[in-house]
Formats: sequence, structure tokens, C-alpha cells
Amino acid sequence: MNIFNKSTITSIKSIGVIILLAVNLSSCIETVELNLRSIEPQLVIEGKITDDSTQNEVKITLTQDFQQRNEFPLITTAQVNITDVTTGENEELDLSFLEVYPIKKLRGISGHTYKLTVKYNGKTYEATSTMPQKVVFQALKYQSISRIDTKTKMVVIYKDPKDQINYYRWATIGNDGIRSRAFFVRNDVFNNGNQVEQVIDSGIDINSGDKISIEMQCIDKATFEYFLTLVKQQGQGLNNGAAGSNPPTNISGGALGYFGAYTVETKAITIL
Amino acid sequence: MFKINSIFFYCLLCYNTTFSQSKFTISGTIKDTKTGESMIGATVRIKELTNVGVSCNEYGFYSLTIQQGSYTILASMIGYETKESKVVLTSNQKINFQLVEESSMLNEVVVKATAANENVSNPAMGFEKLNIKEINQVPVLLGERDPLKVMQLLPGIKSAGEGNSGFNVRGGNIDQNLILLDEAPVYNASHLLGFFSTFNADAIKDLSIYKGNSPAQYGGRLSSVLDIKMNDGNNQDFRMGGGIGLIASHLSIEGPIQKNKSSFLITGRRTYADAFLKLSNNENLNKNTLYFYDLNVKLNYTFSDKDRLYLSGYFGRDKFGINDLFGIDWGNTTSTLRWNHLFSEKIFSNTSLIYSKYNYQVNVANGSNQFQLSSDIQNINLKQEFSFFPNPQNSIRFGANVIHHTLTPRIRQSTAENSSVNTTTEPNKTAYESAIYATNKWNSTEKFNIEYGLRLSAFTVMGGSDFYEYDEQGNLTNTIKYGSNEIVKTYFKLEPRISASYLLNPSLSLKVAYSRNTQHLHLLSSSNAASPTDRWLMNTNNIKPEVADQISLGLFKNLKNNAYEFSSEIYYKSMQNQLDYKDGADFILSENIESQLLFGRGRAYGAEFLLKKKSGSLTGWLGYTISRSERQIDGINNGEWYAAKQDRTHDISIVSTYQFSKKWSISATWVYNTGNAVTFPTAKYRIDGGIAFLYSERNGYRMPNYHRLDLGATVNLSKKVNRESNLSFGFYNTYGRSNPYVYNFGQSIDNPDITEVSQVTLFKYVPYITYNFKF
Repeated sequence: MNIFNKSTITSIKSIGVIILLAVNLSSCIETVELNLRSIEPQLVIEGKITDDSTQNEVKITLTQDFQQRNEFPLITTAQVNITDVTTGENEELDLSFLEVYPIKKLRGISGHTYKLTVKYNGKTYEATSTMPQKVVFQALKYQSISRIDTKTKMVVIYKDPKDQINYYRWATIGNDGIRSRAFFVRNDVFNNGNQVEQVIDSGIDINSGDKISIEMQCIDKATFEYFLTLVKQQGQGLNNGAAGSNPPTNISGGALGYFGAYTVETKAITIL
Repeated sequence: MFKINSIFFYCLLCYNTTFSQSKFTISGTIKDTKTGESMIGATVRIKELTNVGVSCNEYGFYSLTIQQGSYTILASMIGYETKESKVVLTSNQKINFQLVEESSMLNEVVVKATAANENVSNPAMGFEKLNIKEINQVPVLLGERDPLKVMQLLPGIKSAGEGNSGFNVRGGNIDQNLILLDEAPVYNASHLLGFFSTFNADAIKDLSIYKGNSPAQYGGRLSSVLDIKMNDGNNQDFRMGGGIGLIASHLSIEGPIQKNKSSFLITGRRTYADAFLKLSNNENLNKNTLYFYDLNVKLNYTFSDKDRLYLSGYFGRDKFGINDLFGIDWGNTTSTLRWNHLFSEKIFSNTSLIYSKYNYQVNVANGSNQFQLSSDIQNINLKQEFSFFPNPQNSIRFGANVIHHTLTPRIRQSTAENSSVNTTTEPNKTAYESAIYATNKWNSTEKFNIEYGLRLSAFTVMGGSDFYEYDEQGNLTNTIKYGSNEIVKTYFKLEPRISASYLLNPSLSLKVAYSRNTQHLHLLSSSNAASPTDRWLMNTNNIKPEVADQISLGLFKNLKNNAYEFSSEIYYKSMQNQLDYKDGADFILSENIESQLLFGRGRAYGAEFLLKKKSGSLTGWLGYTISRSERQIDGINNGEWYAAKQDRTHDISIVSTYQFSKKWSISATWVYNTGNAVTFPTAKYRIDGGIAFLYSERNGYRMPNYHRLDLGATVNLSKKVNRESNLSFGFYNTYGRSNPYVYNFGQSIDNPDITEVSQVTLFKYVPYITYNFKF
């Protein structure tokens, strides 16, 4: 649980700033332009295999300079291959009309290890991931929480298995059907083996009348560490010059991104 | 160790009796007439012997051994009238001086026959001393007089951030400063997110900083020693003082226990930022908690001419809470018991028993995650030191100490019946840090002075917790268990220190110094600004002591009959076993911190210039530093050298106070520096609908240049014999320069198709007003 990293430290600092703002009206937050360098685009691979019928795909894109719009060129000429290392089953992926590489035949099975191979521009990129055991998503509820202001937050209920280290990621899907771009992950270091009610930082405003879905994923260690770093990147904390860092990738060969095999279970609730 | 000392000490006694037939010793103390406070660094000179003089030690004691004869003894200190005493020396004599403060600062300083060129002739380099009067004149953020903020205006010492009391000395890290309050180390010297320091100006007598060239009695940190001395308390009259400011109030009481002999001092300070919160009609704001307080206590008791006992204590705490969801409180406790004993006129002994503790406690209630985390670091230190004054040319100091460190890494406790958090503890880590040292200040000729010393430090890592072994890739290969009385490893380090000055003429000298320092405790900080939950680590089988070697050259020149002091120093420092953490490291989640660390080296070099005017109606200084600080750590920045975040090329500060009448004084401070080195993203990419940033070279960007002008004025409302009060007011960042505190990078809230940078500026045009009184 990274309760410190985002919620608390950010809270300490944001409360501190709020108090400074209150005491001293001259503080301010404004949007500025920075002269950031431009670099050669780099390859980004995002591979996902789940026990569900959706999301099974490999997406290959390029990075973009910070000042440019969020438009990331898709790579459509790669050779992409997925292998279930446990059974030996193999699938060659073809480009879809959405210009991604969907996994059509293989499905994720807990305990099985999968290997992703991407060949592009004469280079080979490889990654493996083992799909963890599924933890039952018992219930979804919501509650109102007052920090600096009062917000509605989603709460997921599950029982963490005792005999293994578990890693979780929860994605929020808003009223409009759009996935929240805020990432939220936890492991069971603090609460191994217990019944847990986890409050989710969804990163979106939740209002009465909204129908909110939460997708619970049981992820492996590498995917967890990857997203944990992204959570910190998104932290918006007053890092005051602390070095930003890149997430550790499990892909060899020099590409950015990750390859993860994970379980998926979704629940939805309408806010009253 | 103690045995060796006592043999040595016995030899000294013999030496003393054999060679002192025709020589006699004058010794005593120098005190302030009005308060009875001992005067650290006051000098004693003999009018008839130009090359003979000593300065008082930290307890105001001096000892001078000279040929028999008739002499005029001069006791002096800047800001005080020089006192003379005629003596016919035919036996050992005890002469105590009481100095009177100069009545008016308006008269241009009368040039004294005494060693006003002390700064030129003294071999000390990289050394600065501030007294509390200088500190109190400087305008500061929100009017809270803060010794650490003023010290940051000296060359070579840089603030860790806007309004921050953390500091970097000569390119070192924040944790490489040994901050001592009456000899006790203070682990976390900041309050309220670092905006205030733990040092209440009411309780402080003076502060000295050694920028890496400390004498051998100090040790344990790489970059600097900041030695802060508390007031002893007035032993003449009962006095009460205090102040009311915008964010805090403070009160002090002091007085004699036995007139002229023993006294006490109690000071307290508390902020009331939380009162502002209570005024808010936002229910979520007014339920929050945010305050800190400090309490300083000191007692001293004189038993006889030969024995004096001091007890000092500090207790400070910060409390912060968001409703019932989250709370954190943290603070330091220190206490020092000291016994001064005179074995003879020439041998001064001090025995100290020192305790220091820092702890924090975090309470979280979030869903079913209801728990408390607590951690502390504490030490007990027993120290014995002798000062020996064999003749006017030599003053020798030697001693030994043993510190027992206890680190409680983290205790996690479930705080509710239905909490999903498991209660766990990590075993305490313990170690012994011991040292033996000797140093001599030798005025070999009128022109050549040298101070040389040697310190042997040992750090013994004790068992009782798990120790790990790793392969070259950083994978855990072995866990070793040791019993709690077993020694895991002992690190020995020999630390030579030497500095010398050569006087070209009475107002011009060249100096050179070399010193080695080692550090056995290390702070892992996740950001530049001090956070209460930053983690301390001790040496282990994997974490090795940090070592720094510093060499410096200096030119010291006094102008206009010592009215102006100019100095310039260049230094080069190389550092080994520097710590940093791997990209993506996490200290909360990982069970094993060591596996997240990287080790490397550092180098820092620069030139410092300081022009100081200490007396007259205009006082202050002008400082300029040009410097670099770099690190090279395998695993960061492709193993290439990169700028440390505190690397700033240029740093200028101008500090001035003008006393234009007895009633009014004004002061101004201007600072300008190159921005810190920072890491900004150079590119972005999409991951699962969100935006991820790609960082390339470490600290490859610069924050914009920082500059700021602070103005202040003090008006004395009444200054009678026993009644003083004044009003201070001013502006921090008077011309409203928008200095960025931080940049945040993210997807635009209004337009998800773009990313943007937002700049947070904390302080622009911040006014203050403070009322201070003493009666």
C-alpha cells in the first residue's frame, strides 16, 4: 500500500500550500511554457492478456514531445507473437482495423506464463508475465470523504489471500463509459490475508446519478511496479525538484511500456 | 580509550609541574556584566606581548601561561568595550572579566589595540560565526527570526528551497550537516514542511558553522558542523521577554538561582496557524490541525571555582491532521548534562552526557486501512574532553566519546477492531559510534599559525536484526541472522584535519586546509524539501561509511583598520559512498530498503568571496559563490556524472542593516542564484488511456534564476535600563518576484488532448510585523 506516497504526502503538502494560500494571498498556481528539449521518438509496447474477452491486445506506439498534442503515432508493421509458455500454444497477431494487434485465440489462465515477442525494424523485444490467481471482487460501494473538500469515493471489498503476495490495480470507468486516466494500485504488504475495504482514488468527480464501474485486476509484480511509478508521476505532488523517474519495464530490447497477464472482474453501482 | 587518556593526562600534570617554575598562569572567565552570560570567543591579550593572546572556549574560560612580570591584560569582544586589568605576575592568578556592551552603535568603531585581525591570523578556514544580534536584524519570512535562514545567506551555504530551513553546504546533501544544539545532534531541524527551523532565537546565544574543516573534536557528518549554543540564562536579574508575531508567539523567562553563579532559562514558542483554520467557515478546513511548538530549558549551577554543571534540554513537536482521516506528529527531544571541571589553571575538563531522539507517528484511517506507523532514531553519547593550555603558543584539546545508536525502523499497528492492517514490527537496529581525537592549535611564530588534529572514528554495527547479501545484479542471495550482542562489522576511519595561516602583514594572510570527514548515518529523502517521514539508515554490511576529503586555499584581508573583513576561499571536495535510490524505488512498500539503493561518488568545488562590515552604523555583508556539485552513480544517468540537485553556479547575497538613530534601524537582504538542477520530462507516451512521461538525463534542466529582496525596519519603543521593547515590520520578496517553487507536469484538465506545466509560486510580497519585549 502506498498510502504515504500519494495520498498522505500530497495531502501534507497540499494542506500546507492551502494554509500558505490562506495566510498569504500572494501564492499562486499558473500555467507556464517551459523550453523542453525534443528527442528522437522511442518505441512503446503495451501488451495485455486477461481472463476476460476484452482488452487482450498489443499496442505499439511512439513517444511524442511534451509540447506536442497527445497524438502518438501507431506502429503497424511489427511482427507480434504471443506464447503460452505453460502449454506451448502460440499465436501470431495480425493488425486490426484499429491498428492494434488483438489477441484472438489465447486467453489468460491463472498460473500460466505468457511470452510476448515483438520484431520491428530489425530489433526484437521480449517480455514474460505470469497471470496471478484471481481474488474475488466481493462488493462495490461508495462513501463520502472529507479532506480539503468533500468527495464521493468508490470502495471495493475483497478478501486478500494469505499464502501469497497479491498485487491489485483498480480502474474507474465513469458515467460516460470512459476510463479514468488516473492509475491506482496496491499490494498486500500491510494487510495480507485480511478482509479489506479499499478506498479508490479515481481521479474523476463522482456525482449523484452517476453509474460508476470499477474494474479490479490482479496483476503481477512487474505490472504493479510499473503502475506504481506512473502513480507517482501523476502525483502532482510538490516534489520540489525531486528527480522524476521512469517506470521499470519488463520488456527487454530497449522499448518502453509493459507486458502484463492479469485477471479482470468488473462491478458497477449507481450513486444515489 | 579512557585509560590512554588518563595516562596522557597524568603526563600533562607532570609536565605542568616540571616546567612552570618561572612561568605563571592567568586564568578565568569572561562574562557579560548585565546578564552574566559567558562570552564564547572573547579574546584575552597582553598589551606588552604582541604575539600573546587566547580566546575563550565555549564555556567562556581562558588560560594563559607567561613569564613572571608586570602586564596589562586586555579582554575584548566585538560589540563590547575592552577591559584592562593590570597585574604583577608572581604566582598563578585567577582574573575574571565582565564586559560592558558598547553604549551606542552610532560612533564609528574605535580601533582597538586588540586582535581585531583574529579572522586573518586564526588558521580556521571555512568557518563562520553569527551572534544572535546579527541574526535578529535580518528580515525574514513571516517575521519568525530564524538562525538557520540567516546562516543560509553566507557563501557556500545554500537554502534547500524557497523559505526552507534545510541547507546544503559546499555541494553536500542536507543530511551531511551535523546540527548540534548544546552538543546534542538534532536529526530534523525543521518545522512545518521546512518553512521554520527548530531553533527559537530567544534561546540561542550564537552559532558557528564549519564548512567541512571542523577541528577534530567534531565528527560524523561530511559537509558541515553547525554548532548552536543556547543562552545560559541571566544570573544577575530576573528577566522576562517575548514576542508576538503573525504566525507565532514566544516567551522566555530567565534569572539567577544564586546571583553571579547559577541561573536558569526557559523559552517557549507556539504557532497559531491553526487558529486561522478555525476562523475559516469551510468545515473541511477548520477541522484540520496544524501547529508546532518548541520548549528550551537550561540550568547551570556553579558548585565552586572549579566545578560547574549545565543541564540543557529541547523539546519540540509538530502536529498535523486532516479531520480524522490522517494525522502525523513529529519532533525532536534533546538533553545535555555537562560538567566543567578545572584540574588546574591549565587543564579544563568537560564531561558530557548527551541524549537525542527524533520520532514520528502517522495515523491513517482510510476505508478498512486503519493503522498507525511510528519510527524513531535515538542516541546516547558519553563524551570526555580535556583542554590543555601549556603555553601561549599551544592549546591542546583531546578526548573520546562513545555513542549508542538505536534505530526503530517502523512499527505498524492496527488501530481499529475491523482494520485490515496487520500489526508488525521490525527489530531495532543498534550500533556504537566511538571516537578518540586530539588537536593542537599552535601559534608557532607571529606569522605562522597552525591547527592540526587527528580523529579516529569507529562504527560498530550490532546484530539483533537481519542482514542481507546481494549478488551483482542486486538480487538477494543470503539472509544472515546475528544475535543482539554479536558484532556484525566494525568500520574504522582515520580522519586527519589540518589548517594553517601565514600572515603576510598584520591585515593579510594566506591559509590552507585539508580535512577528512566520515559519516555513518544516512538520510533517504524522497524530495528536496525535508519531509518528516524521510528515513534514516545506519551503516550495514552493504551500506558503507561516506567519506569526504576537502582541500581549501584562502586569502584573508582586513581593510580600513579591520573595519572591513574580506575573505576568499577555493575548495575541492571529493566524496565516496554516496547514496541514491534506483528509479522507481519505493520505501514504503519494499520490505528491503537496501535492495533499492545505489552507491556512487561525488565531487564539489567552488570559490567563495565574503566582504563583511561588523561595526559602525552600517553593518552587513556581501557574499558571492561560484560552485559545482556533481555525482556519479552506476545505474543513474547511464553512469555518467550529473549535477546534484543543489548545484547552483552563481549565488549572491547582500545583507545590510543601517542604524540611523538610536530608535530606528532598517535592514535589507537581496539574494540571487542560479536555479537548482532538476529533471523534467522530455517526452510522453500513452499507457492504458493515461499519459506517462519519459525522463532522460538526471537533473538535465534548470529552474529559473532565483532572486528576491526583503526589507525590514525595527523601531525601539522604549529602552530603559530594565525595559526594552521594539516593533519589527517588513516585507519578504518586496518586489514580488515570481520564483517558482515547483513545476507540475500533467494532462490539461480542460483539454485532455494536451499536456501542460503549472508553476506553483509560494511567496510574493509577504508582509510581517512582530512586537518584541524584554523586562
